[in-house]
Amino acid sequence: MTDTQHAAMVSELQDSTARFLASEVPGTTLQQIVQGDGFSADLWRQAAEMGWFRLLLPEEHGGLGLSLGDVGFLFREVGRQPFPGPLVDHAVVVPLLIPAAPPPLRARLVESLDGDRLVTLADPCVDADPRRRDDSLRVADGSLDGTVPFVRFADRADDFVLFVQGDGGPAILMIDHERRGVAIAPAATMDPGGPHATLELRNVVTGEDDVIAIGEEAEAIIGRLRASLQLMMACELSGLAGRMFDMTLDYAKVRHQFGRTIGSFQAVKHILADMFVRANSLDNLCVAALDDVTADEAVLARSAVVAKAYGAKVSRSVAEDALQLHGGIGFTMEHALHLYLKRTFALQGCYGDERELATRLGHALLERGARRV
Amino acid sequence: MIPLEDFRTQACEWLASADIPAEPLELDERFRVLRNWQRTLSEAGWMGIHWPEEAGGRGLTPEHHFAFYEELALAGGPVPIGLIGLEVVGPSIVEHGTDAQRERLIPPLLSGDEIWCQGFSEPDAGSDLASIRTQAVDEGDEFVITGQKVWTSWAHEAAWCAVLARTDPDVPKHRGISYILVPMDSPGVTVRPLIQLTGDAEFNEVFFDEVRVPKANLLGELNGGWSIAMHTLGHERSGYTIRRRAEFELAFHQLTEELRAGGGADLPERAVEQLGDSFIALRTLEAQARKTKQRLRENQGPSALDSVDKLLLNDVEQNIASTAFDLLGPARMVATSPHGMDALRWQHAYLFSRATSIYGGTTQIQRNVVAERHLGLPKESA
Repeated sequence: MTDTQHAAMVSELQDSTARFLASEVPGTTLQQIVQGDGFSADLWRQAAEMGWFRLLLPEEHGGLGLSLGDVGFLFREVGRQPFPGPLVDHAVVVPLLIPAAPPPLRARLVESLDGDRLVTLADPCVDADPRRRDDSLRVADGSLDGTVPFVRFADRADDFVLFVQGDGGPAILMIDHERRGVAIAPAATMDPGGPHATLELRNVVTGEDDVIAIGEEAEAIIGRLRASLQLMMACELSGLAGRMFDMTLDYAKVRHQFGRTIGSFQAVKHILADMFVRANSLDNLCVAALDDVTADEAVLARSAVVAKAYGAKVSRSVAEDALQLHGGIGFTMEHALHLYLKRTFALQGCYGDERELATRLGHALLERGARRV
Repeated sequence: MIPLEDFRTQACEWLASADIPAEPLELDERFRVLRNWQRTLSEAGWMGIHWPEEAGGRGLTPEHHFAFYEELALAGGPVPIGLIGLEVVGPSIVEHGTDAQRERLIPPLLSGDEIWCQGFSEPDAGSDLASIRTQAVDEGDEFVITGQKVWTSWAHEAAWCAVLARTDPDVPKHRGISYILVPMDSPGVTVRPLIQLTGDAEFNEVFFDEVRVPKANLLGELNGGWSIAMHTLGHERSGYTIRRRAEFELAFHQLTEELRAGGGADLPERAVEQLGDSFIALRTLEAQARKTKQRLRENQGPSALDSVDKLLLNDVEQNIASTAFDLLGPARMVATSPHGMDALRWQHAYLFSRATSIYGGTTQIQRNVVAERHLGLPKESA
């Protein structure tokens, strides 16, 4: 496929994704899902049929073999039109694990690509610096113990992918939800992206059959997965910021007070201009990060941290301004704005918010210099 | 036409072997050094890169021109002294001047032998530039100019001033303005320095007391001065973004190196976070500059997106300068060296950074432009 054909294909995927989301999950539908079960199995199967879970899957395994840089659009569109479900898990984690997994586990991972079997990632480090939390899940003498917070769809998952520390170093395991010793403690959540729970593992028996990767190979995959998830979340945050800005601009153009639209008042205009500059620059940063994706781990890691940090900062502030300019109506559950706000707040802290990541970058700068970070 | 990347390589090679001067902090010394530097750059063919060859340029594209300035910044090279001539007045003369004007004025403008200053703003006409009151009265072969200009950089060293003056007081304000080229040694011209809070006396007030200027010094059409001025300001904005981005990249690298050498290990966490935040800001500017370059490649003219660029650029500059300033801590106004920092440099950088959201169109004006021209919100009512 030539570069032009490739670009056209990605562009068509982007358009069809946007159309699908706009027609299947408009604000009203999303409200219903979120107020109900938090998940729609039917919509999830449709997403599978759209091919979302095979975008990153290498061609030799039956996928489209796209690169991460090509797939950012999916998350940006989902940011613009939130879609409940373990999307990063199915669209990023599973396709990137399939090539590494031994055949029996691979077969189970492949089942999830059709949307019938749910897989969710339990990564102890999602809320903090990896250097502090990497050993939250430990395997010793075949017994797996530990606790992982913020696992989405834990109560609905058929399989868990776990990042653990064992005697052989880091490892990636997959276990089914019915394994003895697996307990789920749901936590009330306002994240429209899905319900959260704490996963508690006590004396869970694990063996070689549960291992997807171990040692250096596992470490490399874990590093690449975390960076990939950060970058995709940045894209989602960019979509959210863009959508919240668009909604607010539209509102400012129709809401009348004092005989004119509120968008004609300079104070309102200036906030909107500022929101635009921020959202637009976040979008440009994500596009640049996606363009820069190659096999180079260091470049991906750096781009991902920068994009996630800026995504967290911008979308949070755009969310606050959006709410401010919507006035009272924006503060109700009736108006769909709250869904975008809450999705933004939920993503802000995943794999580091702007402050944590800036601090991490600051240390790296002092250690290695601005040109080698 | 030489491909862009080959041109960029040539520029890098030349810069690597050139004797790049350090930029002195002291004003007169800075003027002298940067004027010599402009002569050097001009002799090597790096000035007027995108101007037509007939006008003394190299006939290349704006992309080539901005690529040179980017490499210059990354190499730590200062900009030539005659920036106002090169970026503001010169392009207007190239575009709108007569052959005689171009032949006489462009070569010494490029070499730096003649320095230009910009006579646009007045004490009562800043953001509202169109309300200028300096008059140019028609007296047969000459205009007679009376009025006062302000913020005139380098007026005390300039050979020429590009003056926006009112030639028709009876039409809507921006329609009665002409662009007149005034020799600074004309009788009736007085220059009075204004000292910036940085201590520099780079700006001046310039008084015109019945200054006689030949009509041949009119640039473009009578009463056509406003669009000439606006057109140029619009076109040069993308270059400014590209150049400044590269300058900040180098400055941030230098800041980090100072800290690494001078004991950055014992900085408090909040300072470390601020440093990281500034790095992120720099990356956003680099991503933004890619879009700016794309618009240039596609020959998209000036637009409200240039105002978007300026707003982001200002934020990033102020972010980096504030970080450096805050790292000085209690030494913010004292010339010591905490953490191995070059305190005078960072104090100056911070103070000057506060001006960037004021000059070239204030942040408030830029936000109006973005809101009205890009977002389609209703204009300010009278």
